Amino acid sequence: MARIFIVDDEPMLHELYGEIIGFNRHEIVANAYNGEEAVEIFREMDEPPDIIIMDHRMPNKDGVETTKEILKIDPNIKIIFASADTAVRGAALASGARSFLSKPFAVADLMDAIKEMVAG
Amino acid sequence: MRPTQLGQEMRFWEQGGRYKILTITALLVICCALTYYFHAILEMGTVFTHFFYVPITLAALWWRRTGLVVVVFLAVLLIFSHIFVRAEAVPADDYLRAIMFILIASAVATLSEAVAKAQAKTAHLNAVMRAIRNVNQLIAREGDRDRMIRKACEHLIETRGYHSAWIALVDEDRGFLTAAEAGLGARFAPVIEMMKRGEFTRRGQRALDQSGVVVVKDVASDCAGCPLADTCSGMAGMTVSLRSGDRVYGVLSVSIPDEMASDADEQTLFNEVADDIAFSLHYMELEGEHQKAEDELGRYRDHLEKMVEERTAELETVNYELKQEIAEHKKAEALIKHLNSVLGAIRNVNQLIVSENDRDSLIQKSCDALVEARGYDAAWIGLLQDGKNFVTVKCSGFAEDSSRFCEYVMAGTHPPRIRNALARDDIFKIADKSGECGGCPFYSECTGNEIAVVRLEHADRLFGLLVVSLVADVTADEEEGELLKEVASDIAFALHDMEMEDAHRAAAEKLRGLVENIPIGISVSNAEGIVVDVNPTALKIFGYDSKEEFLKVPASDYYYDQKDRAQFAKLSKKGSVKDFEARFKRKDGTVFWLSTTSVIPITEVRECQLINAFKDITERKQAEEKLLEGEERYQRMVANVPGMVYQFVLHPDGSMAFPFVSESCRELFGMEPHEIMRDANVLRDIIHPDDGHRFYRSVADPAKSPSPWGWEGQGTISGEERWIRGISRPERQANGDILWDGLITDITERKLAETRVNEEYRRAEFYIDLMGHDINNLSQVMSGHLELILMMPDLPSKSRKHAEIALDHVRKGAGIISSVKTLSKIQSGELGIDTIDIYPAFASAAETAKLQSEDVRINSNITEGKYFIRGNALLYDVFSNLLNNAVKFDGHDIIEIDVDISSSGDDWEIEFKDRGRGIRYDYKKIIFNRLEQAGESAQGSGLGLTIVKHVIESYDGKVWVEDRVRGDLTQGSKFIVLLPKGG
Repeated sequence: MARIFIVDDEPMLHELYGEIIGFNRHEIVANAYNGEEAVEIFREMDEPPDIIIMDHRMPNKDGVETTKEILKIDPNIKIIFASADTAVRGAALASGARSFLSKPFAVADLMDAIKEMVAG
Repeated sequence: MRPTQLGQEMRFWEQGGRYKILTITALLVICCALTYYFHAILEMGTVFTHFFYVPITLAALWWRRTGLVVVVFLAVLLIFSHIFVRAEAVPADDYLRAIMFILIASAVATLSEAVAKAQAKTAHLNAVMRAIRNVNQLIAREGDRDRMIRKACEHLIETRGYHSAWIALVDEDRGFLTAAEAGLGARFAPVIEMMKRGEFTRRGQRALDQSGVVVVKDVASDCAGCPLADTCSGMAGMTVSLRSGDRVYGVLSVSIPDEMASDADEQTLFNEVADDIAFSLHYMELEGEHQKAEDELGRYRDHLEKMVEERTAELETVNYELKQEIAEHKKAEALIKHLNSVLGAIRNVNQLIVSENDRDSLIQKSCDALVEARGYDAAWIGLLQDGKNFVTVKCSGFAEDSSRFCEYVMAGTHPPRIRNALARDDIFKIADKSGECGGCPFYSECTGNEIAVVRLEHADRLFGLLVVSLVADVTADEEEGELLKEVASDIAFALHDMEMEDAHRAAAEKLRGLVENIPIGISVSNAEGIVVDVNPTALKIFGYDSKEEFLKVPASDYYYDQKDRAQFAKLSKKGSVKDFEARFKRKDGTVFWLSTTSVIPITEVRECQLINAFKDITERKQAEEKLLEGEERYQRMVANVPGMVYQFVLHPDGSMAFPFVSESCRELFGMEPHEIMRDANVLRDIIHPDDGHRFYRSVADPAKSPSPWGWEGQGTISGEERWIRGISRPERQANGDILWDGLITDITERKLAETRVNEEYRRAEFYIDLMGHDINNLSQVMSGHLELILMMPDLPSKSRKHAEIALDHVRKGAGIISSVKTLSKIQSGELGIDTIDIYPAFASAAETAKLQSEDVRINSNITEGKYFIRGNALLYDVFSNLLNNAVKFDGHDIIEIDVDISSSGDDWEIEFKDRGRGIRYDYKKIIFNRLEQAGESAQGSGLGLTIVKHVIESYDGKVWVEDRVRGDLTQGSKFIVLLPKGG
């Protein structure tokens, strides 16, 4: 079972992620709705999550910047980047994200990505 | 103390004084011992006092009165030894002896002193003599006055022991000349300054005024105010004038010890030294005058010698010139005689040249004249044709029939001399008859001694030869040669002149023929303006058949407009007329145009005041009229064009000008055309600075100017912000100018429209972006939930089917949104272009494609870090669309795709080969264009390949599709992508 941190500005997606992750018996340990909030929550967490699912286009701070800051705090954290903007694929992977999912992605793709993170 | 006494005192202690003291002391000890021995040991009342006289005499001799101390000691010893040793009364004898001691010692001391004084006197006189000798030696040796007086001073203080000495010299008016010193140094400088001012020390002034030595006992007190008073304090001084006869040369002054100054001998010596110095100065003066006289004498002698030399040279020159003149005179007489003969020959020949017009007659008579006037034995002249062969030969003086000789020469068999003269450039040669006339059949008839051959040349042209046989009394000298050259030159000139005359006549004939046939009408007018002659072309132009008929018609009838005739008459009176254009009438009354150029003949010709050349320009005039019409049409067009037509020129020196701007500039710029044409920079004040700089940069470097050239900019015109646009096509002119012919239009309305469109475009972009993001999120939510529904195991089959359809459409909708967003990004160019590696995008797209089906095999030779292009992140979309399509439309259980990359010039060529069902030929043409697919029954949204095409084109690349196996579309397709290489 993986401990997962969801970062996305869309509440409906938090809900969907909750359903999918719960269905696969993983645990959501934190939710953030913009980049700054994500960095703040991550910094205050006693135990870091196993995986972060990161959106790109968010208020205050985008996903790429947020990824960089979080990886500065903990370089070992595993981040799955999920964005409708395929143009940021290169930047996301270059900033340290382990995987990129182009929205809308299939539930199976997300589960495979989580499985890979947990295994790796 | 005098120096001699002082010297003795020194010697007393330092030069043997010690031995004298020891000697006297030893003698005194012996005297004491003798006294004690006699009184105490022998107990005798008498002492051997004779021994006492030894120390007494020696002490008195050595120390004179000082030696009396020894005497007193011995006297006291003798007396007191009785008292203390013998304790008895002193006998009277011993008192007498003591007194005798003193008397004898006093006498010896007095004598010793007298001897010492005599010695001192002798030493002094020796010193005096040395001083005089030194000064005299100096006088005899020294030729320089200043050095002599300086050394005299030095000798005086060295040999006489003077404290210091100085000499000052004055001229006859007692003005200061110079001075020298010894023993004073820099302290003497004030005395010199004083003397320069005409002031002397008191004793110096006294010495100048009187003869004899001026003695002062104490310089300090006697010479108060003298600059040397302090220096010579405690010293006496002696000063004496330096006199020789009545001439006073100066003063000699010394400072000396007081006792020396009062010594008469010293003064005498001093005076003698002064006399010797004065004599020396007098002698030097005489020597100087003597030298000066000798120098003057030498100069005078040199001057005289030079004058004698000059006069001698002049006489020699005059003598030489006189001889030359006589020789020249004789020569001139001979020359005059010779020249008279020469001139006679030349005159005769020149008369012939002037009077004769016939060539043969000229050369015959020239030969005759030469034989007669110069008395040549014979003469002949041969004229050449083409510089080689004689065509005419004339001779004179031959005894036999001369025609035989002429035939011989013209036959071309010439003796060596003639051949040489023809071949070489030397004009005059004296032939050795025996050697150079060998073979000539007329050798025996030619009785002269020598033969002269002269070439007849003028203006580098050889006309022939002149040959004369010289009689015995004519010398073949240089003068004779010059005569023959001159005669030959005159004959050649005459021949040349005749040739020119012939040519002139031929040219005149040719000109006449030309005038007759030239396609230009020519007429000749007299002083009254009446035409007196015309050529056939003129008759043809005016439509007349004969000259007579034309000349009968008055000039007023030719002119269509009489004003033109009056104007022509007015112009022709002033001189030549050029290109006068006017209308005329033909014989049949038709009107035509003529252009006339008239000239006044250079040479005066009878009845010829003006020569008129004219040509028919009717066709040109008609063309000009048409051109004028065209010009007017052009002007109307320029005036009606919506904008300003202009011509702009950039000169090679960087200056600019508008040679032409149309009237529309008033409307466009609110300026008159002449304002812009006068100064191109006036537009700079209107155009905004940045746009202005852009404009000047674009025209300043023509090599960088596009053709056609275009520019847009903003300006403030009549208080309003306006946009203007200039277009033209620059052309380089022959003189280096760059000329722009173009049009400037007001594009403010268009620009405003563009701005509105851009705003709308940006707004649309924003909506697309917003919609894409939000709809994608919605799609994600919907597809996610639908997938979760589909994961329910007990979902009814009907519901499952509905959910699957819904999920499929949600995904298609998301795909359309994604494609529209991608296209929007391509259009906006927001991603830019950079050098990127192909591999990451390809690898990522391949991974995605593999997820599309269960068994997808993608074979490729694309590797990392090897293939670079100029591109951006959208390259993923290219590969993703191509690979996904290949998977989607394959239909086999095992899907196999080959992707091969290879180099193709400046591009990388990538082939995507699938084994799908292929693409029809007509569909291949439109497959990359979504709009052209409208209405076609194609699978998919069609936007994928449109994106591929747009992305590749944004990289300056190409994409097209072929059959994988040529001619068999069922074997699958081959998509070929060309991408420019990067890095």
